[in-house]
Amino acid sequence: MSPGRVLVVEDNDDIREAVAESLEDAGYGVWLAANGAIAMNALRESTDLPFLILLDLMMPVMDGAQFLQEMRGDPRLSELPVVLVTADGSAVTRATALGTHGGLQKPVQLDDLLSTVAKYCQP
Amino acid sequence: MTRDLLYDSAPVAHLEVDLDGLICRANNACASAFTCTASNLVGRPLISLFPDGPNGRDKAQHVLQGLGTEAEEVAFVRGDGSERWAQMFAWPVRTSDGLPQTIQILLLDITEQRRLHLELEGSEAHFRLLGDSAPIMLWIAGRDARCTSFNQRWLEFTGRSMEMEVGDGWLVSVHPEDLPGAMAAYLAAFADRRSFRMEYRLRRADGQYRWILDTGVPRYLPDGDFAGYIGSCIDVTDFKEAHEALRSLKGQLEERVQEAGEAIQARDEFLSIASHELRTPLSALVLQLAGLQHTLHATKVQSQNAKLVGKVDKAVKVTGRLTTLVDSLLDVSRIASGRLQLHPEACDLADVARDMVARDAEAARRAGCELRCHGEPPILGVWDRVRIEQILANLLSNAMKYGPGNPIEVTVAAAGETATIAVRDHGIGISQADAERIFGRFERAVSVRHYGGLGLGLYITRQIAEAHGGTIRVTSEPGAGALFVVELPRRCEPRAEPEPPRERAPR
Repeated sequence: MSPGRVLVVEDNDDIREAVAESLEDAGYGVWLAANGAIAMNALRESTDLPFLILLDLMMPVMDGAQFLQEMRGDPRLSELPVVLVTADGSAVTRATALGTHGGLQKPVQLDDLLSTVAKYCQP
Repeated sequence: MTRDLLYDSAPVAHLEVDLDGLICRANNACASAFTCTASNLVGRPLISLFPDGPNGRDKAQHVLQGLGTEAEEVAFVRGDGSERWAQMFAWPVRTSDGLPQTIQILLLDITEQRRLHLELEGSEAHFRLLGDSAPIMLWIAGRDARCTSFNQRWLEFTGRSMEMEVGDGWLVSVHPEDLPGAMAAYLAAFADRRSFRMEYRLRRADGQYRWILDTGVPRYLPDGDFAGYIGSCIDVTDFKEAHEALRSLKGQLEERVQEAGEAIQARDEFLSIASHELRTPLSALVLQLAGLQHTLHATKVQSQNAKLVGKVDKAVKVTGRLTTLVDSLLDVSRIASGRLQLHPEACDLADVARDMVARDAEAARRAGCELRCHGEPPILGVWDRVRIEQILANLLSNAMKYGPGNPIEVTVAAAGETATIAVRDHGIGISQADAERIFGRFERAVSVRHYGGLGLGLYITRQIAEAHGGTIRVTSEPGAGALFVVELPRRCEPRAEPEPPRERAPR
């Protein structure tokens, strides 16, 4: 069974792959979703849950804020830790405003990414 | 008796003369006209009442000879010696067989009317002289709106005679397209007796139609009676053409300004899209390279790997520079659209400066610059840390670029409510003239061939300083290095920015 430790929700293929590969290289298990709707389906269909969700804010179909709203309406998912990954203003400010556990500023630096993820799970 | 009373009280001077020309009867009006008693007149020769000369005695003789065929204006002399004028009538009273018996004379004093008439004639002649020497065209119309006179300048302009122009004659020179409108305006003003001002084309003597500005005002006699109009005309063709040219020029200018504005907007939009589109794959690239670098450094470096590691390190560095350039473009597009937003947080300026100097230590070593940082921590304030770092990075990068091989001093300090960042280099310096514009967008004081870059660093730096409510200035002389000083309020109060539009969602 796949470890399924970190869920990366990001619509840009290049960035999603780069983040995923960085995490995989560091030994993490990674789930990928190109928007909030795909991520939500994956979460609801899986018996396993990730340790952390890395969430982009601006995405087509279902954006980050909508995803958070849906997630919080689902008792099974509402307590999952979420870290925002955004280029829109200050990631920290946005994270505080949206009540998530943290924020990563785009463009993401490898060291920041790894140290942030390490707070929620070990490879 | 009654008839005598009637005769004496008549307001017209009457004399009766016998066939010898002697006065045989005169009424009271006659006496007052000549300022003597009637009886003084009786027996005197009629001729003696008139002074010698063509206007007096000669004319009186003429009337007497004509006998009723015509009246004449005749000069006469009063008892007090003053000369006056009369309208003189004479007719014979004949006997039943048709022979003249007496001659009846009526004298109507017209001295006053004659004086007025002469005065009027004089003033008209004066006016004509004035009008003919005036540099503008003049016309006079009577009570019936028809023109009675034009000055010399008008006649020269149309090349027509006074006889041709008077009445409605002048209308043939008015352009057929303008005639109905001009006539309607003229007659409407005339009916209300108000001043008017109109424009029409008038054919000049050379056949060319010229634009005329015609101003008319009603004129009145001294007793207040309406007498017609007087008008003046000037050729405004040149003025109109100049005005038209100016208007068209203004239109073209406005068009250009609008085009320029649109071009700038298009450029800014392009800049915004391009920088966003470039940045996304670039961030993926940075992450991938960092991963590669990390992996290579983590593995045991073997001799054939050393070259690979060096190449990846260089690629990371180059990508970092590329990121800085793209970020500059993104910042400029944010500034252009008013979307440069600050995220202030409490921070220590001395700490920020030390960090930045440490971060640039390697670059400074390569540029041969000794990098010194002065500033006693803590210098606390509320600023956007990332943006303050950007200010320092830009100033340090400029100092190394324009002053390689020379020391650079960074000084941070605080006094009261103001914190200061000063970066001093010992490079090529800037002239006073260039110092004014280096903070502008895409500006640089030096040739782009010798010094690369987008020319955006100082522009962005100033925008960040100003967004914090601060300022930036430079003190420099060519060849004597430069001192850049940024002053920031300790607690920044970001300028009121419009609500930023959401950033373009990547496709």
